Amino acid sequence: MRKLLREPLVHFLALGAVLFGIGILRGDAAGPTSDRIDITPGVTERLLEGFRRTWQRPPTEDEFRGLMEDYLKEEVLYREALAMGLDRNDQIIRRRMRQKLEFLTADVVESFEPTEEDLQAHLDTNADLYRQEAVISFSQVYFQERSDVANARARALSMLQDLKRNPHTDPETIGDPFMFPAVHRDMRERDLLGVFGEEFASQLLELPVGEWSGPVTSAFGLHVARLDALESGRPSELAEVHDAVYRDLVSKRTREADQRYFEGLLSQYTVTIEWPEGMEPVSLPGVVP
Amino acid sequence: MPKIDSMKSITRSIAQWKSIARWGVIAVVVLLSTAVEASAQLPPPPDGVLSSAYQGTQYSPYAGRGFPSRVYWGDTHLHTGLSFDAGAFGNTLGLEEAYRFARGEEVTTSTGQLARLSRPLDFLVIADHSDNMGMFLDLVAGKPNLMADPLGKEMYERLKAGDGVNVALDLIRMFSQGGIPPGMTYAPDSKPFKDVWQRIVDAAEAFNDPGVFTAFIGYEWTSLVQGNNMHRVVIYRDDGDKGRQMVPYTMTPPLGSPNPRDLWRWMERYEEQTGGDVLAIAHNGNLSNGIMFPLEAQYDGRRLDAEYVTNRIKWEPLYEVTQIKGDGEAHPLLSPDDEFADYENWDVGNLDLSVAKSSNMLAAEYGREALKRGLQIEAALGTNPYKFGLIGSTDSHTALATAQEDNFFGKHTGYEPSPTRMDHDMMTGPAGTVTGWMSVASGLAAAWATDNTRTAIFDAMERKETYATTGSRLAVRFFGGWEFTEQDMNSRQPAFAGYTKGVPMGGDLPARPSGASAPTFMVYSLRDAQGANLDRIQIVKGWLGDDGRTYEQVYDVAWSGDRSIGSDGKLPPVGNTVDVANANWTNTIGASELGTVWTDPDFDPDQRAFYYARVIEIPTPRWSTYDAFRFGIPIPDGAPTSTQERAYTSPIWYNPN
Repeated sequence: MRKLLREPLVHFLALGAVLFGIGILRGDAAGPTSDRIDITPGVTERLLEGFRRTWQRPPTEDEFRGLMEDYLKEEVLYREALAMGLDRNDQIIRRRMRQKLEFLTADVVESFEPTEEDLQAHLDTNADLYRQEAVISFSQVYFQERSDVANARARALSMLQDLKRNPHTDPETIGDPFMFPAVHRDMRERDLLGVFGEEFASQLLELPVGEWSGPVTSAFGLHVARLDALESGRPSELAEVHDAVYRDLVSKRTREADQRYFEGLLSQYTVTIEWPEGMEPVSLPGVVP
Repeated sequence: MPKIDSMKSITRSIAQWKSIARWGVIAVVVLLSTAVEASAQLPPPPDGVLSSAYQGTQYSPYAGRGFPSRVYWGDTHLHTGLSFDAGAFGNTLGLEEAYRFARGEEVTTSTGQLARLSRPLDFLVIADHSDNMGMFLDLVAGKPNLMADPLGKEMYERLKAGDGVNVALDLIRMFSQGGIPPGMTYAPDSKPFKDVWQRIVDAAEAFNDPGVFTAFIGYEWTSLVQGNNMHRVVIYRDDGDKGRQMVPYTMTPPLGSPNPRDLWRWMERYEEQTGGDVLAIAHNGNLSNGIMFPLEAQYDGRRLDAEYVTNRIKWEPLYEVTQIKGDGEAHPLLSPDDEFADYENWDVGNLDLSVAKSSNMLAAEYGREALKRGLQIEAALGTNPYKFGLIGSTDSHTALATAQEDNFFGKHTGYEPSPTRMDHDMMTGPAGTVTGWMSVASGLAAAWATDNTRTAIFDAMERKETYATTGSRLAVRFFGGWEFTEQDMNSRQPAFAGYTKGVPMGGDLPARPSGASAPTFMVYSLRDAQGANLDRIQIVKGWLGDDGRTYEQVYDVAWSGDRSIGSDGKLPPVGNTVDVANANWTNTIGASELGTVWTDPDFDPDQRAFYYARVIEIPTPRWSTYDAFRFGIPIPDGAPTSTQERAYTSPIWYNPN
């Protein structure tokens, strides 16, 4: 499994490949030694035109922001590629990139291997994500409301009194016909929600343990219910969720490193954008307007 | 080193697919009024107490019985960016995102939107296309072997130039027609293919969480003959130790074949070699142009024989009857008396729209008709090849298993929510055009299983204790036997009587006891806890007449409200509360549950027959109506404003012998 989890690290391959693709694509940008990026109206309009050709419509504002971000990223990476001389010849590019990325990947895999302390810290910060779900045991007796709502309530209340007097009555034998069993042992919270719905679940969890109560409402009708046992949800111990935490942390670090790598490169540039006439500027992350 | 992530970034950057429209997608379901005035067919028990109905010896009536008491929800047919067509269309999401989304987590889609399911799924089969697994990744990366092929080189150049959509369409067209040059074909024995398969198995292993979430190992065998669809999803009961031992079967010769007989041979070999267990589920007979359910001869002219019919039913216990590319239960031309048959059908042409549909093709394309044909073939050859149960699934290529009308993310990445997705021409060919709005927000697979594990759910599939829905999570039980009575339906848990006195959906009626004049069926349904009320339950019967021809009849057996069957034999419509302008509805009509015991009034003990239940919800807004409301755009011409979601159970069969 760990092998699989490391694979997002090949994001670096992606960056490298972008260097490769873009270096060939862009013939109109400034030279590799320049640290200025000037986005002229012509560039912006060409991006818009490209989008329109593909999609038969203008981009939305968010899509347009995406186009601009992408262009900027391409521009930066392209220049880096040029600076490295990657633009000379396909074969050379391929070999050079491979060496570089293999180096990077190897390096990165080592530094991403989380320690147990890292995992614990990640778990602590994201305790909610890894909570152990509540486990609920309960009994319910169903009363359908279709034919007569008031009557259903009356029947439920009367049954509740009966059950209080005779707590050993088998709940599977009473009430109206129902799709699901009366007695549920050790049901996880998500299953309770999935089967009985949120309305029922939220009321059930508030009931006193071991006591017939109600009626409780659900999407289906009325229920007299007894909460038999409730093992509340709780934060997990690392051992219980070790694999999931490991998988998520490696994945997160990879994404962050990916982003840092780009931001580091971007920060070496001064970016100015001259917006086409009549166009509202949009803000781009990492670019000072 | 697998290259999927490099594909992601390059595809995105080259094809400029990164649209970042972040309108938050609302997975919150509008809370509805639950006031229900309608009366249903379930009478309340006279005194509210039926202690005599309980037969159990244990406190927990399920203990020791092995009955499934819960229905589990899943999608058995989902594609990620690993599928060559999905990747080319711009899907940058991989296996991990697909599993996370299905488990109920929020993910960012390939077009930058936030998406989440209203409720998690219980199980998922990621079924990426086996043919050319890994090829598109390498094409994007400009691998030398592909660059050596003139077409590969050309496509690579076009990808670089931002022409990704058209490259994708060309690839699909060529694949459909068998035109991908040998130099670009990735055979199952190639390294990239094997690498991708390892990744798929590894991911299923990582996300499989017995008792909580089942991640099946699986793939799609993408058989196409001149664009006619005979696709199957292959699902493994097994864990990775077995799944890794063999690579998937493809349709490309010499290592693969488009002939289902060869797929069955592969499945046989897999089981022999690994001791494992696999099954296959066909889908989209509606795009097969008459070759999915042959009556006499296969697409290649070879006659159906004992080998074909026994293998087909041995390996294919289920059929995926409803999905994004059309609902395939029934067609109005095949079932002119069924007013619900005209439902989200796709009948323009075959998969790539290279050949138009003609009406004589339909009988070999639709689920109900195939069930009928199965009776005919059984009479002739001794085995019913189409004795399948039913499930629905999405066939989504976005890595997002969405089937709910109010949370629908479309067929592929180009059809994620946007103001223009409904009007795009989705597919165009000589046969005609399929427009974006025609996509169907469907379906789901429901399994009555004893637990949420690979083995328990797979076993439910093999015994066909499953049903299809078009996206809602309504619960349905369907039992057949010879002596069900109203009393069984009125017992606290009708399922006890169901299992002890009869068989559940997917089964065969027990031998007819002497004196029994007609089979009885107990059917009941409970609405989706977050969804719409129920309109009616129907039982669909198909049978083989003495004249050797097949017949069908749809019976309304339980319905909401104070309606009665008219002189035309039809139950009046339930009504419609859909507020089209606001994409809303109320549960003020319909019933939260329906059920009855029904006896076949037209039973002939000498005739082979099958029976299945169809449960229909009250009208709710179609996904296109939600799109119109949320984007403030008109509903396209031809798009229905509301839809009646439904469930199709697996049949129960009667055999006179």
